[in-house]
Amino acid sequence: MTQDVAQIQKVLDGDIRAYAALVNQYQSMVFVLVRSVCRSAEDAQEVTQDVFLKVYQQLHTYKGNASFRTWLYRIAYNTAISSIRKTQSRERRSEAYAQDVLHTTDQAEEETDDPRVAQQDKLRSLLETLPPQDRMLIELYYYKELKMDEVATICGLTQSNAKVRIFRIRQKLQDAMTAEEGMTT
Amino acid sequence: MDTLKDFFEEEQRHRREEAAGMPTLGMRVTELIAKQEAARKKTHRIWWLTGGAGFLMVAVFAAVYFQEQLTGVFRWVETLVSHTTGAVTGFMENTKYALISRASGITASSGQGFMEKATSEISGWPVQIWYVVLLVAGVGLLLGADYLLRRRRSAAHS
Repeated sequence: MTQDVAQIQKVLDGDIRAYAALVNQYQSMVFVLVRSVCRSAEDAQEVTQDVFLKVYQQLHTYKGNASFRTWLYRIAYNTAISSIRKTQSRERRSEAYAQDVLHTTDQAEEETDDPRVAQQDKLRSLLETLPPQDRMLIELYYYKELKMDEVATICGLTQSNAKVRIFRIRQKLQDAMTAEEGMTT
Repeated sequence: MDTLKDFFEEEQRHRREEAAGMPTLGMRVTELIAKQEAARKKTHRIWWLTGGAGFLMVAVFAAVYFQEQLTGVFRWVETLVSHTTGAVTGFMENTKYALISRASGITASSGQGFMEKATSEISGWPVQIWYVVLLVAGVGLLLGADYLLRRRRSAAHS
């Protein structure tokens, strides 16, 4: 953390190379998070870039009280949410058509013998139906390196509120999975 | 619930693999920042030049075509300022002497002459000087507003 603070200080003093190093250091971490709400890796890469542009503009507001990682995750979370909102309205227009076309192909592709792969596909499509905030919240919950209070801070929630929401999302996913299994048997 | 845990771990592993194949963004981001900064500075410069030129044109136009009205406005401002300075000076003088006389028990009257002289001197300034003074004050106000807006914008980012 002190290393981060020293590097941030360098950036604030005008050392742009230090910022390039900071971006290279954290780009994978940001990418993994924003990828959870982006359709493609290319989109996620663009959002990652936007995150670091925003971080540069707001770097002077980082006081060093919280960990830089949490602060960065918070900006990434907000950027990803606003980016998905922008693209959602665009996607909605073509969604009806895409659903019709893809549904038939998906069904053909989903015909797999491996039950584990089938279950993962089901979960993936269930996650698609969740609002982006919930999708990211549940993603962050399963990050090994993040504590519950950090997850809550990133999502702008209180710890108890985050816990309740996570419980509900998990319940929802579990119920949907059980219902799907019931329908197939 | 282990199904969910396994699923998310698997997804994260897959995304980490994708992230590993991503090119480094450091240089690209810093290049974009440099471009954005240059564009921002250019826009700012253009705004200042346009604003300055506009202000100058309006000032010249007003001085040429509305000289009488302008003189009237400046006279009115001059009267207002002289009244205000007179009132403020009088208040300050009264307070000062009241404090001095209360502290020392002496009723002072010397020193009053200087302030009165200064007030009458200021109120006797010609219109041209008031014009310059107000021009400088206007530019100062613009600079102040610009500073405040920038500070507010940077605070809004945080």
